[in-house]
Amino acid sequence: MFLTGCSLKGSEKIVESQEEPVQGQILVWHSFDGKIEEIIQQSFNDYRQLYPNVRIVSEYIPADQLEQEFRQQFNRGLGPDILLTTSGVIPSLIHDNLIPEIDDFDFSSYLPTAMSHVRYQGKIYGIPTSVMTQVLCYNKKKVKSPPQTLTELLQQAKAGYSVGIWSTFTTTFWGVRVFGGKSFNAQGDFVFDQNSWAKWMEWLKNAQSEPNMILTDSIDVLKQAFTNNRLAYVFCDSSQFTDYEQALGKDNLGVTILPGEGDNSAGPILYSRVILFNRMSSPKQQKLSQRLAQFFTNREQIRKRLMILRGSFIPAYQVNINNRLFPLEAILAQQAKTAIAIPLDQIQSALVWVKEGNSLYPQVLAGSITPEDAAQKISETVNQNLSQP
Amino acid sequence: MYNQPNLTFLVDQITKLLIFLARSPVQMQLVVILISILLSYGLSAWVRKKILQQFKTFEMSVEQALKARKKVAPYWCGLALILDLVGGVFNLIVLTLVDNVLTRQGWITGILSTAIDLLWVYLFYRIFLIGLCLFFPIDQVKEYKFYFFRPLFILYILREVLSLFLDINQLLKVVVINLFDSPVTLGEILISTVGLYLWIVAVSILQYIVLQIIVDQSTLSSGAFHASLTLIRYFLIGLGVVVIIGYVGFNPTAFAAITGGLSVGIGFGLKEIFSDFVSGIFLLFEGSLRPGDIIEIGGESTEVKKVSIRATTVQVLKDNSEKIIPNQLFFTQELKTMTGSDHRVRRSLTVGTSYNSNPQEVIKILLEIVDQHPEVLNDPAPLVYLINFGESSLDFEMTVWLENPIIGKRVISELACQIWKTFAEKNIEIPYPQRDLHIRSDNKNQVS
Repeated sequence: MFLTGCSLKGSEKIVESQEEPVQGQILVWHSFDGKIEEIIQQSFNDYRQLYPNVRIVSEYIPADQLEQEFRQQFNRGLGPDILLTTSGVIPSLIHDNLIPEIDDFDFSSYLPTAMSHVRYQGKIYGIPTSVMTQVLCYNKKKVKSPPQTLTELLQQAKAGYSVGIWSTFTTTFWGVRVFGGKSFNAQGDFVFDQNSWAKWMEWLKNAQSEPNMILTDSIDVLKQAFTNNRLAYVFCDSSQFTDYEQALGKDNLGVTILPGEGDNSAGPILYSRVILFNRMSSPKQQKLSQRLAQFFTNREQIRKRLMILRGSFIPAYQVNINNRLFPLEAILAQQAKTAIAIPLDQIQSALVWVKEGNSLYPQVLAGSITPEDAAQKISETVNQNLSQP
Repeated sequence: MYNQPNLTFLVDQITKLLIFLARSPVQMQLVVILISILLSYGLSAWVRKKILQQFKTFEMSVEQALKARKKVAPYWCGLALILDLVGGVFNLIVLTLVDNVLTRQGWITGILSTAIDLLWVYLFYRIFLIGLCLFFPIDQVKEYKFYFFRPLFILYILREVLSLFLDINQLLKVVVINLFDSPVTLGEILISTVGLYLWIVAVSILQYIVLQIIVDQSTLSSGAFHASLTLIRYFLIGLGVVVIIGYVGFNPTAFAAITGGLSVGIGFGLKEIFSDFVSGIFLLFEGSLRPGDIIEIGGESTEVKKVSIRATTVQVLKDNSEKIIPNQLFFTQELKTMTGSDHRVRRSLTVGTSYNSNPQEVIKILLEIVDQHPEVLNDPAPLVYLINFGESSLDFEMTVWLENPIIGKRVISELACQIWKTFAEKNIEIPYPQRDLHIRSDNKNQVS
């Protein structure tokens, strides 16, 4: 009889139920530290004020360990009831049947882009909380007029302004669109424009010879250099705003859209932060978790977080934001318009050629392979992937 | 913030445990483990009963080995291994089978797999303990199992079980109390109590093993080696204490205050103990007293059994009782040692013969008797002297040298018996006390 109690089929969908007293315990895992962690904790405290019989245990797990830890704990029947993570992990978690489908949740006010990051093969597996993308951060004490184009950026570097570029295949992908690259074909499938990528790599190769252009694959090195006033510009995303503001001073952090060229603007990759649930949770825990997620993503909580973080993220929920009040968010929203949102259905295949790209990218910069040859290899991988059923 | 006692973490961990226990996959796995344990316990009790019925002398043999402080015969060790492992192996088989079946059915079995891993460790732990009985006396194995191996194993199991649902490193960092403005974490408390305890026992085990291996197989002086090992042991324990204080990271000011307070305590209340302690160090360093020495203290001949840092244990030769003598007594009282620079000891026996006997012949007979005794040393040579013309007898003193002071009384007794026998055979009289009475007439009576 007890064996039937843990049947896998019993808890695959989360369904809202009749009104019941809200009480119980929930375990939440996240990868936020510093101010963002405090804000999340504040949301949980607000929830506990409404429902004092609910106890929320919130634990920090480093981002690079989160998925692995979750899998390990899941295999024992343990793990968190709520997982705050990025949308990229969803396909593999679905593949291994670790997260339940979310049913009967009102997603009508959510951004379509954010929803494409939680919808997989027609089913929804997560609740998006915010959308993230890259922008250009600069130190207002050093920079008076930020560059609008790559040419201006290079000129400023030659003039003595130091520029930190987070140099990996994915984090520099924004430059492909600047060289005319198209991200999606007519069928809406993601495509890799090898010519544009090769041109962009050629530009990066030339730029790295410039002493003030610092290309590194370590975000920590860039963070440290920027917060220590050794860099005028750094390519960043909204998760770093609070740290930079804290280090440089509230009014010294400048944010602008990524440089384009001519009519072409930059196209960074867009990703979402999402709330996922654990299929191991009991039905009662799942209901409780969904209530908490609903509270966490409601309009009032989003506004509160935007106020505290000074609009440094794009909410996945459509809320009217005053651009004057939240200038950071206005820039993020502007950048998001030209950003590339890879739908979750194509993430798995994207991961294959991204892996190939990650391995070839440093070789191109080191000069051991030409940009054209590397682009050709990545294209072949993409095509092979597309030809597979 | 981090310096304040933080028990919220512990409450959170208990909450997590409640969350997990409310999940049916967890409940299912725990029930399977519980049933498996109960079944294997029942089976092991049944098998044990059957084996003990079959091998009735097993328990008696183990009991005898325990009393005699001896090793257990390999045959009985094998049997003990079967008795010990049958439950664990059955448990392992049941859990592995259930784990395989459930995994194939797509069930969650992570906790079962961990339980299987722990069972393997348990089996190796039991094999290790039984294996020790082959090399060391069973009473020692039992003692060290109780004081060291079992606590260590329980700690390991606790760690593995707790790490299933919480971060042990984080748990150990939980501040439990603030002591002298220094936050004391759970890890520091554990290290300074359980860790120190295990270290002290481990050092004792190490000392025991070294003694067993090296002293038994060498010609080293047992006493000197024992004393050196005792010193090394105290040094290692002291080192452990210093390392732990360093790890805990006491506030130097607070530490100075504590040691200052201790100094006053030592000065007054602990004066005697401190004095014993210092005396013990001198005894061990000087080597003036070593286990095996025969000494005379308080008017009693005793053999030194163990020199510790505070007191010395001696065995009274007269009645085999043991005395624990505080070390400072060896520096404040006169001490006679029979085994200081020379283990040899001289014993004397006085014999009286009648005035009818020939003194030269008596001396010759006595020397012959002494020569024939195997435990009397030839060098220095035994001596016999006519020492006195007594009231009833000619008195002879026989002096012999012995290798071991403990055998003195027995050897003298054996010599005395042999003298009596030989004198009887040779018609040499050992006279009773004699008194010649000379009766004189009364002067007054003569006058009247």
